[in-house]
Amino acid sequence: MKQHSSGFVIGIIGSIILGFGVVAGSWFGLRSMWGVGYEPGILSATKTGSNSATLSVSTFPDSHVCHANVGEPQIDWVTYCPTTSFKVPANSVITIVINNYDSATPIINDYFRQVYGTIGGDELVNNKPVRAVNAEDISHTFTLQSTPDSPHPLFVSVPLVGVPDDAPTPVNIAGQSYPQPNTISFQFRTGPPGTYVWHCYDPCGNDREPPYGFSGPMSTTGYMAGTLTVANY
Amino acid sequence: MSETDIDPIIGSPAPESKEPRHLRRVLILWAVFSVIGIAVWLAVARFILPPAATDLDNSDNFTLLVFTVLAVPVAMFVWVFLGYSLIVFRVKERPIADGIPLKPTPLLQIGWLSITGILCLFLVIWGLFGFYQETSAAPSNALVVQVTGQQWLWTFYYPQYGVSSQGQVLELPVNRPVIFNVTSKDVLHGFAIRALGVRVDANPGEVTTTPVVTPTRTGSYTVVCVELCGLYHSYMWSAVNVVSESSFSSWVVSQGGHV
Amino acid sequence: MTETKHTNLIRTLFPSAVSGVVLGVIGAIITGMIVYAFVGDNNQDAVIVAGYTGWVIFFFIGIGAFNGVWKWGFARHDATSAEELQLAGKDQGFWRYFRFTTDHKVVGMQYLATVLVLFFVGSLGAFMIRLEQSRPGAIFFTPSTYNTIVGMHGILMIAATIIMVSGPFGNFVLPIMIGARDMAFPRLNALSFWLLFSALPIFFSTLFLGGFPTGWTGYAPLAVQELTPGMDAYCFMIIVFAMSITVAALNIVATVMVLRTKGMTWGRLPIFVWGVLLSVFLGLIAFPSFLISQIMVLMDRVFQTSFFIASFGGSSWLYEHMFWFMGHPEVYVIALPAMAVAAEVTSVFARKPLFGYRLLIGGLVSICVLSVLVWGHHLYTSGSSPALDGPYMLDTEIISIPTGLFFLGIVGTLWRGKIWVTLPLLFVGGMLVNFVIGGITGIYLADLPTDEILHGGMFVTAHFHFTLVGSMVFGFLAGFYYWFPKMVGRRLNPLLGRLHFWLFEIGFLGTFTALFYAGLQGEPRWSANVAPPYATANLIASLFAILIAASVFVLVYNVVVTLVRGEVALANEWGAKTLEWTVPTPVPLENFEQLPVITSLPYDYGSPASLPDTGVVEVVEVIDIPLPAETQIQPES
Repeated sequence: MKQHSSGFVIGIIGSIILGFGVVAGSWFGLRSMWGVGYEPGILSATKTGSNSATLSVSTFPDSHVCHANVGEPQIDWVTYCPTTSFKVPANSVITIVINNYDSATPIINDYFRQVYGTIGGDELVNNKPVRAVNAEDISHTFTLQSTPDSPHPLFVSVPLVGVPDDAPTPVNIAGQSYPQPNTISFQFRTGPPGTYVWHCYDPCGNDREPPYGFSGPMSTTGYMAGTLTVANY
Repeated sequence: MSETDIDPIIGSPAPESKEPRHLRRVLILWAVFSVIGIAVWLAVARFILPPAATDLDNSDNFTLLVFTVLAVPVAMFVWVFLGYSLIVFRVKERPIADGIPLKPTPLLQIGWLSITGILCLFLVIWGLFGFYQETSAAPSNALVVQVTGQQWLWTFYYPQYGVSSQGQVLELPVNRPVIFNVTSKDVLHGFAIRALGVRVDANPGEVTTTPVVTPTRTGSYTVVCVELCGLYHSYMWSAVNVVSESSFSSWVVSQGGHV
Repeated sequence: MTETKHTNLIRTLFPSAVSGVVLGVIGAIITGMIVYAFVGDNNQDAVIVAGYTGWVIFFFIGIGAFNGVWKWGFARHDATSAEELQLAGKDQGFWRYFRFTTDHKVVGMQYLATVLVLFFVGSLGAFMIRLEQSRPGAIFFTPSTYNTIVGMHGILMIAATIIMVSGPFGNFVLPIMIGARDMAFPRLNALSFWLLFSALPIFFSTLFLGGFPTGWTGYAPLAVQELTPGMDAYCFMIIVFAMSITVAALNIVATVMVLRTKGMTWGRLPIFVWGVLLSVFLGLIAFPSFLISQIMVLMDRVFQTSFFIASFGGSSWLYEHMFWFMGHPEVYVIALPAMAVAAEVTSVFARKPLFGYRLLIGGLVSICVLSVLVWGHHLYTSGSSPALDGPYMLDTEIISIPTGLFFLGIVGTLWRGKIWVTLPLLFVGGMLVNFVIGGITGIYLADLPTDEILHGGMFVTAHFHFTLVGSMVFGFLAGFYYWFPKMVGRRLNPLLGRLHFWLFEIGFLGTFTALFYAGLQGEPRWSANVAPPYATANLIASLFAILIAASVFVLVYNVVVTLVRGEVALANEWGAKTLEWTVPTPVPLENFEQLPVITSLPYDYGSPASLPDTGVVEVVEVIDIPLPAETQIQPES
């Protein structure tokens, strides 16, 4: 073969390098592609002591406050606000306060009526301790679960009590009127650093009829599903 | 069996005296490689197959072991003939002569079909027998667990104790038969515990039941979802703890049930 | 003068793919807007589906698919032979590849280019998957991006493998092989390719519509539940794709039925023709069910019917059965022609007649028949019909008997041949090595006791990559290196080819053996997040995948370099005896000056050759090196 010239070898090596460049480029392209890989911003819990922190979020019946820029139909999606990616300190007591502005959707799996995994086994609904909620009164759940690689099992599930359907709407946020929210708070203890995911188990998505109740916002990070990272800080 | 006995079967003309006896060589190579292959497999199988926690999974692992022992000579037959041909019969340049035209004799055809057919039927009967063994009815003391899949969590309800597991844990007593009734609230999920040999789909609106299995080894295993179910499919995961009868009882109480 | 140039430019662009795309996009926007005016914001899926429909219809208007109907369909006059030749791309140079050209060789080249592009894009998806799975945790992609990539990789590769042999070689080589001047329905031939082409932008639009979470299987009710319109792209792409291969399959069946030249009896057909014929015939049975299932999913999504929604009386099992009724015959649609290519190639490079030609064809026919009734083994764990598990298992495992005949045929053909180890034969060797592993692991998945620990796991992934990639894509590559000199007229660099082969084979074996191990430990499929117990095996798989990636880039380099300045190939590059090697390269329009007359099988090596009686035999002999027939040593017959 006459082609054993250096140009031939350079050609092979060059094309392989170029090829891996294409791979890297498509990785970067897919990551930054808005439509498929939306990653919401991270909200860190505020430290209130050396071993405690608090995180405050809201749930809204639509996305006008939190995702003002999206079009139809996402603008009508229920959502956690301001984000669904949380960061909390390791080996600490975490207090999460959720202001729920949404009305109820009957839950279809009675399992999620109960409070699991919190300190004391209860949650505070408008400062009243509660261990379980009627299936008809729940609008969402906040259910934190371990991933296969979590170093420390963590399972926390609290039902969020909905506001009445016909409640007056005196609260004005970002030009939208909302009812007086229910404030739900609960505490749990974190272990060593690791990654967890959380999700809502109430069929609050579009049409609200299973399986449609679990569609849309329910399977989109940034709305009703997200991650919780335990980190040292 | 000498070369002259086999050659009429293959249908090739008698080899010229100077030519090496290819067929005998390759059959010896095949036998040697098969024995080595089986020996290697039997030696490494225990490291490759994960330990089983139930009789069912144990017999499944045994099936894998036996099938592979049977498969090694079959694979070696093809590979040895292929490798030998490519090495020994290769010509350096574009060939100017043709190879010897061979035709499969009826004996070879019948022999080949019979051997593959018998092997195949053996596997089918083995499988049917294993399948039949799983159809036994649940004994009266069997533990029933209702498994509900929902995007993206398994929940476990023990109707005999009126209690649900509080978290991503499936607790099972050792040496007690258990049966899982599996369903789904939304889309298809796949309920699978490798170490227990349990694997069944969770269908919305239907209850599917697994074979009765009896955990025989305490330890920690995992439930995974094996049917793509959306965003957090790969996080749909639970721990399985096989514990002693007494530990199980105290666990039931700790979850709010009564024994 | 400028005016003529102006008209020429318009004549060049219309009709062509360019005008098709322009008109198609305009059509999509208009139809989408019309439907939007009716349904508003409430039914995004309806708007998207209308847009896709508009795209397909107007694309075909733009590319001139209906010009023939307009001119001759209303019988103002019949098409003259000059007009037919015009349609076949006579004197249109390179542009004929971008037109609604009816010449089977143009369609074959279009298919070949498309298959290569699809393989490249699909392999990029594979490398993304290996990247993500190289470490535990969703590090490189979010889970939703990962699910979309897995689904895109899967369905792109499945589509590409379905057409990889029957498309390029079935269109380019098959008609010449049977001594025909073109396909039976040349315009349908063009239609089948351009349908495939029009499905691709639809499919890739999913990336801008939110992707889809279902993987390549598109299981309902997840597919119905999913709100992002990216799912519609998947469904619609399948519909158009299924139409494309149905049209192509009908055409190939009709061609082989009626256009065989004089003396080309069924018993003298090259085995490649048998393989393609059986494959497309099987596809005709299998694919309508897939097409209908996707129409039903779209109806569930757009019109809120509930074929697959249990809470409204539907059933998810219905989808599973419809899908796998296509899904399992489909792997044999992929396998049959690739196996036939391997047999064809082996005979040529062993310089021996096929060992048991009739036995091999019997094997292929049996596979074709048996494979229609095996789909239930995908539903062993579904709870749908446990009583039928036994029969499905029996049928699935019986297929290994005719598959065994394939191995017998190849090994018997190689035995005592004069083996010229060229690239095509090297790939056949790799195919045999991999196919043995793929076939045997298939038995594990077909048998009930082992399926219940392996179903839905990484073992399945590794198994079907061994069969589809390690066996069938290797078979395709054997055909690719074999027919490339005839189709393109240039010789692929054999050194680069060998580098490609060894990188691919070593990388492939390493990657998927590691995944077999992960599957035996119980790793589930489709994991965006690899659990720690399987991390090591997955890392090893990802490292070996680097070799596969390098092999792909070497192939791309080889093809590009060859197209730019490759050596000119001989008309009968390999000294083969099938008809396509008797015609000059490049193959003239209408292939033969005089149709050949066939008197024997094309594998009569080792006996006095009876070359087919064609008008161009002399030409062949001028440019060919000595034919084996004239110099061979005659053995005892």
